[in-house]
Amino acid sequence: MPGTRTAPTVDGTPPYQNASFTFIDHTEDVRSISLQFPPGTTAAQIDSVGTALQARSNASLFKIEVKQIYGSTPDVGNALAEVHISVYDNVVVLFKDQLNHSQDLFVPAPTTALQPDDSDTPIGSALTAIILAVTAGMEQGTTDDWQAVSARFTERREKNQRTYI
Amino acid sequence: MAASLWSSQKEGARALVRDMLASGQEMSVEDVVNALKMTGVTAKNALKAIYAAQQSENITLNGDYDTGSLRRGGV
Repeated sequence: MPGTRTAPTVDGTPPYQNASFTFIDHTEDVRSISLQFPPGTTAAQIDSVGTALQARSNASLFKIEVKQIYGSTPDVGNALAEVHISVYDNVVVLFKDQLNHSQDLFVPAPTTALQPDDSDTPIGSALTAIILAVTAGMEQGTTDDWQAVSARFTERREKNQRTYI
Repeated sequence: MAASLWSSQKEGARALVRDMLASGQEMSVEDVVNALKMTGVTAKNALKAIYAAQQSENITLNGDYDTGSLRRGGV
C-alpha cells in the first residue's frame, strides 16, 4: 500500500501559479526570486513584472520560469513509515529517445512492490504503468519514441549529526 | 528530422487494440501484446499502444500490465 496523494488533479486550472525570475550578476553569481500569482494572472502581466524588475536591477534577467502549481498542504500523516521511508531513497529510471536524448525519472521512497527490502535491484514490471504514462507525455514532435532503458535503486548517503563522547 | 519507426506504427497499433476488443469483450494483456508483436511492433511499444487505447478508446485495464486483462466498455 503506497502513501496518499493530496496534490489536486492537473486539469488545466491550477490553484495558483509560480513565476521564478533568474538573474546573473557581473561576478557570475546567479540568483532566482519567486512570486506566487493567482491562476487568473496572465502571461503578459507576469512578463511586465520581469520588465519592471530588469529596469531596477544591474544584474541580467536571463530566465523566467512560470509554473502552474497544483498544490496542497503537506502532511506527513499521508506518508507511510515503511521500509523505504526517505524521499532520498529512490528508484532512478533512465529514458532515451530515438535521437539519444536522455532523461532520468526518480521514484522517491519506493514501495516494496517496486523495490523489495531483500534486494538491491528494483522490479522492472512494477514500473510499467509509470513508464507508459511518462512516455505518452514525452512523445511529441520529432522526439517520438521514448523507451525506458534501465532502472536502479539508489540510497541516500546521509551523515547525521555527531555526538561527542 | 525523420520520425521514428514507432511514430509510423503508433496510430495503427492503437486502432488494432481497439478493433481486437469488441464492446464488452475481454482479452489478456499478454494476448493483445502478442497480436501486436505479430505486426512488427516491439513488446514495449505494444504496451504503449495499449496505454494509448486506454486513453482514447474506452478500454480499461483490470489488474496490472503483467497479468491483467483489457476490456472495452468499462470494467
